[in-house]
Amino acid sequence: MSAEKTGDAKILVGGIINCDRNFQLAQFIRSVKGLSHKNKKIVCIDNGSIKEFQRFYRHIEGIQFEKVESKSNEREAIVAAREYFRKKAIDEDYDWLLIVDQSIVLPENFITRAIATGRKIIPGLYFETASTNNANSKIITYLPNLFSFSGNDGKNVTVSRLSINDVLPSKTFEVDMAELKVIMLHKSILEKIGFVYQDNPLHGDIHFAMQCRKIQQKIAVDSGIVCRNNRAIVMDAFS
Amino acid sequence: MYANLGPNNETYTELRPVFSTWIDETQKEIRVVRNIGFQSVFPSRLMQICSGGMGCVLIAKDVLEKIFFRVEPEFKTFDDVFFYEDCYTKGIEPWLDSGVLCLHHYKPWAKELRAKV
Repeated sequence: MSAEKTGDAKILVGGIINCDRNFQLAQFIRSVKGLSHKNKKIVCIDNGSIKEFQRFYRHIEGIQFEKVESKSNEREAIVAAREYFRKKAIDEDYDWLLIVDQSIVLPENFITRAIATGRKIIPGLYFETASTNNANSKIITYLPNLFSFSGNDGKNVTVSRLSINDVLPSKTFEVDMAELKVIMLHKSILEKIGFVYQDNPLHGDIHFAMQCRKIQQKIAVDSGIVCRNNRAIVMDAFS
Repeated sequence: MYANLGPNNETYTELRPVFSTWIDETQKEIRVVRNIGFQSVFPSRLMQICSGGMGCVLIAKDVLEKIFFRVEPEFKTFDDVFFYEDCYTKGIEPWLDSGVLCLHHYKPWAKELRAKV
């Protein structure tokens, strides 16, 4: 029986944080440290502007804080951090890599439930806040971070965001694409994919989804493990 | 857990989970309860609530032996209100698992139907 199935899987939890926006940090740190899976190592990459970033985290135990070489903008730094984690997970022979952004709060059983899906690419589900106009009032609704492709061969596809009713009731299901703020990857996937910086952040997610398609691996989501999105901005649902 | 479209204020209508709870222990003590909104029930977890809907609820046998479903003619509310009220008076704690999300085929009541309740 493999380690993944006995619950002893070796997990690298890679947090991408920014000490310039430390208002969300306490909740984030609590959530990664509170993950119920025991055999894990937590490493966080700080993308903030403060050079002496270690001072910020000196009281936090159980997490290793690092920095990647500086990039021209934060989104590029985020992609570099994802790549750093991917290579680290390969080099140090982890069974799984969980990458999570500072704005996400994970349920404590996230790793256990993600492994239990039996899939190899498992993004976490979270919701964005959206508003739509209805006569004289506005309706606030919530949209998942999941997308479907319509079109044929992967060259000219239309990307559409799923609606909340598409993810209910709680179930494990396949999607064409997900935003990558929280994603768990099996070691067998790590050498076959890579994170690439694109000008439009959505294009980075599309590129990742296309790579998954190329290696014939489905992206699977368990809508029974929902994360809190602390950066849920109000947007027009149909823009 | 399931959600309804409920009025937030005059200009907004919002998808809201059907339950109410306390913000903190102080409010629990004085029994001030509110609907805490959709995003606040995540990350998925087990949470103690004060009241909820009866659209989907799992009830243990020993609770069924203590509480019966009822409506009161003088109140324009459904049995859920009295169910959770009776739970409170009998010291039964209702809980909500926000990892169990239900699809709710919901339509707001027409005004004329609501008036007949």
